[in-house]
Amino acid sequence: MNAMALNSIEAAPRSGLGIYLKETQYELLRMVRNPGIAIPVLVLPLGLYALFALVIGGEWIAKDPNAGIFLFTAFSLMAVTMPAMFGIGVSLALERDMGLLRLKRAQPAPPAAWVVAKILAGLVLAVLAYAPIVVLAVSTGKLALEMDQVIALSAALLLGTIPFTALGLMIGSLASGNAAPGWANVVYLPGCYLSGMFFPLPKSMYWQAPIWPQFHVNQLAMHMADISKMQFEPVTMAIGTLIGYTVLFAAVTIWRLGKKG
Amino acid sequence: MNNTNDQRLHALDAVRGFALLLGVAFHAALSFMPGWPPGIWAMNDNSPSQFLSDAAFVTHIFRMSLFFFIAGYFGRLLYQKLGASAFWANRGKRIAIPLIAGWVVLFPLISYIWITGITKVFGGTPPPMPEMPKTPGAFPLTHLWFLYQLLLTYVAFLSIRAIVARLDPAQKLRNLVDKAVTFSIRSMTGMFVLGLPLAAALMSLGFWFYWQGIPTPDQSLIPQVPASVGFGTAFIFGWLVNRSSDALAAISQRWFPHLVIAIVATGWLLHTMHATPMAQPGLTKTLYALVFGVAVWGWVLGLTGAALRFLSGFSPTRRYIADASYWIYLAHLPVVAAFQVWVGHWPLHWGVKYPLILVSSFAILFVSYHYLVRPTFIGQLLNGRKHPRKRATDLPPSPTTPPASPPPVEQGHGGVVARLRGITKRYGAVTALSNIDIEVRSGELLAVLGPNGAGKSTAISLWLGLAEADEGEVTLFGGSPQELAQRRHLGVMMQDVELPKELRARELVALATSYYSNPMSVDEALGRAGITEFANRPYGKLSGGQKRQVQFAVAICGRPKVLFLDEPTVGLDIHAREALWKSIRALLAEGCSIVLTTHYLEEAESLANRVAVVTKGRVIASGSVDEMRALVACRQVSCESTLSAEEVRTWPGVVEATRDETKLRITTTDAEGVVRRLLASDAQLTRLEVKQAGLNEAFNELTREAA
Repeated sequence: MNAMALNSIEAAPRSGLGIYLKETQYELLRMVRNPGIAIPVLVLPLGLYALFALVIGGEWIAKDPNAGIFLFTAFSLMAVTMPAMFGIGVSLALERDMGLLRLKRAQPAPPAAWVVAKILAGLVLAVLAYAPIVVLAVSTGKLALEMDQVIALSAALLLGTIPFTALGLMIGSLASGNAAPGWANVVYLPGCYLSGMFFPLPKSMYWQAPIWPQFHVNQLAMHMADISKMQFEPVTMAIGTLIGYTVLFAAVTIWRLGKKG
Repeated sequence: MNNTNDQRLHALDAVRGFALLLGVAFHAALSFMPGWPPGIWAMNDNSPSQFLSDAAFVTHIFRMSLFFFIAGYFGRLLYQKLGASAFWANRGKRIAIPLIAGWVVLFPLISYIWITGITKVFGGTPPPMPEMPKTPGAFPLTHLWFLYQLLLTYVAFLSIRAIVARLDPAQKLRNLVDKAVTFSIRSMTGMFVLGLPLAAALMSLGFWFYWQGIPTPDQSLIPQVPASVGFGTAFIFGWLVNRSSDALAAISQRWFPHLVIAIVATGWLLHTMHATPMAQPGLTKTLYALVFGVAVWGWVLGLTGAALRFLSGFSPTRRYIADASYWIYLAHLPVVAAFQVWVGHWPLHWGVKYPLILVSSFAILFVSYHYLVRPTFIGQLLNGRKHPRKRATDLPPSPTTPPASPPPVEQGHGGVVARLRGITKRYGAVTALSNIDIEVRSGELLAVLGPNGAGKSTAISLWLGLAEADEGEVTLFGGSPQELAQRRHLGVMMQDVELPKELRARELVALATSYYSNPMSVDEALGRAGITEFANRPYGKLSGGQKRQVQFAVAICGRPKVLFLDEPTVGLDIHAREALWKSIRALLAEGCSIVLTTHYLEEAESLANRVAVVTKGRVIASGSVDEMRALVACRQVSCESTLSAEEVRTWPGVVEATRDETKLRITTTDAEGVVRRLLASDAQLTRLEVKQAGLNEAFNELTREAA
C-alpha cells in the first residue's frame, strides 16, 4: 500500500453524533412530508379521541371518571404505536425495495445510523401524535388523574413504543413495500380490538387478550399510573411479555436483514 | 422428473383435494348426529340421521391421515427442490400465514355463529358458554388445527431427518428403508404394521368414544399423543414413499386389496361401535384400536392407489378443484355452520336438508374462490399459482475450461487503490465471477465493459463491501471494504437505487456530506453535478435522468478518492451525459480514481485510461485505451492454408495468429503486406477473407470466443 492510501485512511472522520442527528432529522422530515404516514399517525388518534371523549362519551365520563381514563389510554396507545407500525415498518419495507439499504450500507455511514435514525424519528413522531391528545384531555378535564399520574402514564406509553418499533421493523424486514401496509394492518388492528383497548371485552374473550402487545402496554400504563381498577395482570407479567416480544421481533429482524439486506 | 411421475403428481394432488373436500362434507353432517347433547356442535338438527353418523365416522377414519400422507410425499418433493431455507420460507407462506390470518378472520365469525346456533338450540336462553379448560396451552384452534399440526410435524420430522443424515452418511440405512417401504406395500404387510403405533396411542386413551377415532387436537397448542403419532406416521410414510422409487407403482398395483381390507375392517368397527359406543378397558378396546389402525392404512393406501390407477394425467377440472380445495377447506366452517343453524328447525327430512347445506356451501365457496381468491394475492399465497420472481438464471454457469490465455490486467506505475485478486463469487449454482483479477490504480479511470449479466455489478458490490467473495481477496486502500475506515474514501452511484422521494435534492446531498470528513460544500456538489437548477424540488418529482444526476451529486460530494459509477449514464439525454462526462474528467484531474461500468463503448473511449472487458464472469481482455485503439486499427485475415500459426506469427505486422484444423486466422496492422506474403508462401491457399475490426467487433469477437 502506498503513502497516499495510508494518509487518507488516517484522516479524522466527522463526529459520529452529527451523523445520527442529521439522519434522524431527515428521517423525520420524510415521515412528516409523506401524507400517507403523517395524516393517519398525527390526525387520526387525536380526531378519534376528540370524537369519543368530548362528543360521544361526554356524559359517560362525567358519571364514571374511569371511562375517561379508559378512552384516553385507548387513543393515546394508538397514537404512540402507529408511527412504529406505519412510519418505521412500512418505510423500511419500501427502502428495501428501492435498493436504498444497499446504498446506505455501501456509503461510509456508521452501519447502525439509519436504523437508529428510524427508531428516533418514530419516537419523535409518537410524541408529536401524543402531545395534543394529552393537552386536550387535561385541559378539558376528561382525564381525572393527578399530574404525577399523567406523567407516569405518559412515560409508560412511550416505553410501550419499543415493542411496536421492533414489530414494525420486523414487518418492514419481511414484507415487500407493497405488502407491508397490509401486513401492518393485519397484525395491528385485530390487537386494538381483541386486547380490550377500544372497548371492554366480554368475559369469554379474556383468555386471548394476553396474545396482543397492546394489552400489556395498557397494563404497564395502568400499573405505572397506579390505577388499580384496571389492572388485570401483575406488572411483572406485562414487562416480561413486552421484553419477550421485543427480543423476538428484533431477533427476526436482525436475522432477516443479515440474510437479505 | 420424468413424465410418468408428473402424471402421478396430478393424481396425488387430486387425493389431497378429495381429503379436504371430504372434510367439508364431514362437518356438514355434524348437525344431524343422533344422540349428541346440545351444545357440542353449532346446531342440533330436528331430523337426525344414523346414516350420516355412520358415513361421517367412516370418512373421519382416514381423511386427515390421507392428508398427512400426501403432505409427507409433497413435503419431500418440495424439500429436495428448494433446500432447507427456501422450504421453510415456502411453508411459512403457505401454511403459517393462512393459519394465523385465517384464525384471526374466522374465529370471530365461528364464535358468532356458534353463539347464535346454541341460543337457537336452547330456545333463546343458552347456558353459560363453557370456558376454555384452564390447562396450559389451551387454545381454540378450530378446524385450522391441521395447519398447526402440520407445522409441528415439519419441525419434528426435519429434526429427526437431520440426525438420521448425520448417523447414516452413506445412505445405507436409508436404502434399506426404501426397499422395506416398497416391500411392505407389495406384500400388504404395511397396512398392518403402520397402524401399530397409532393403535398403541389409542389404547392408552383413558376416555375414548369410538366414534371420534383419533381425537381431534383442536383445543390446545400442546401436541396430543394420538394425533401426533397417527398423523406423524402418515407424514413419515408419505415422505418415504417419495424417497423410494418403486413405492408409488406398488401402491397403484395394490389399490384393490387394500380397499377391500379397509371396507371389511370398517364394517367390523361400525358393528362394534353400535354395540358399545364408549371404550371400556379390555380386549374389545385393544382389538378396536388395532383394527382402526388397519382401516386407516387400508383406506389411505387403497384410495391413493385407486387415484394413481384411474386419475393419473392432467384434467383441467380436477386441477381446478384441487387448487380450490385448500381455500374451500380453510373458509368452509362458518359457511357450513351458518347453513346448519339456518335450516336446523325447518320441518324437512335430513335427506333434503343435508344435500341443501352441502350444495349451497360449495356454491358459495367455489364462487368466492373463483372471484376473490384465484385471481388475487390470496390464491397466490395459498397455491403459489404464479411465480412472479424470476430466478437468477440469466448468468449461465461458467464453462469448465478457461478461455484461451486471457490477457492479464498488467501492472502499472500508479499505486493500487482497489484490487480484486483471484476472486470467485457464486450465487447458488450460478457463478457470477470466476477467478477474476482486476486492479484500479491511483488517478485512473478504469472502464469495466461487458454485456448485461457479465458480472460487472457483482465486482463493484465486492469493492463496496456489500457481498463477500467465495474465493480470493478484495482490497480497498489496502484493507477490507467491510471496514468503515476504508469506505470513508469512496463514493458510489449504484444501479437500480431510488432515493427517498420526499427529500429534496439539496437535502439528499447535505445528508450524504455528513458521512465524510472533508466533503464539498453542498452548493459545490450541486453545481458539479449540474443540478443547482432543481436542487429544491423533491426527488420524487424529478425525471429519470435528473434522478441519476442527483445520485451522481450524492456520490461525489464527499471528495472520494475512489468513485464507483455503475452504469451512470443510462437514461440520460445527450446534454446531461456530456455534462456528466465533464464532471468526471474534472474529478480525474483532481486525482480521484474512478471505476465505471458501462456497455457504451464510446463512453469508455471518451473517458477511460484503461479498459477491462468482462463477460461471463471473466476478464477476457484488458489494456490501455491506446492498446484498444490499436486493436481497432487491426484487420483480421483468415484463409484455409497449410501454413503454421507459429511461422506466420514471426512475420512483420502480425499481432496474433491462431489456427484450427482448417482455418488460419491472423490479426495484423498490415493486412496488404500479410496477404501478399501469404499468397506467395502457399500456392494452395483458398477462401481468403480480410475484415476490418472495430472496437465493437473486437469486443463482440472476444465475448463470443469466451462464450
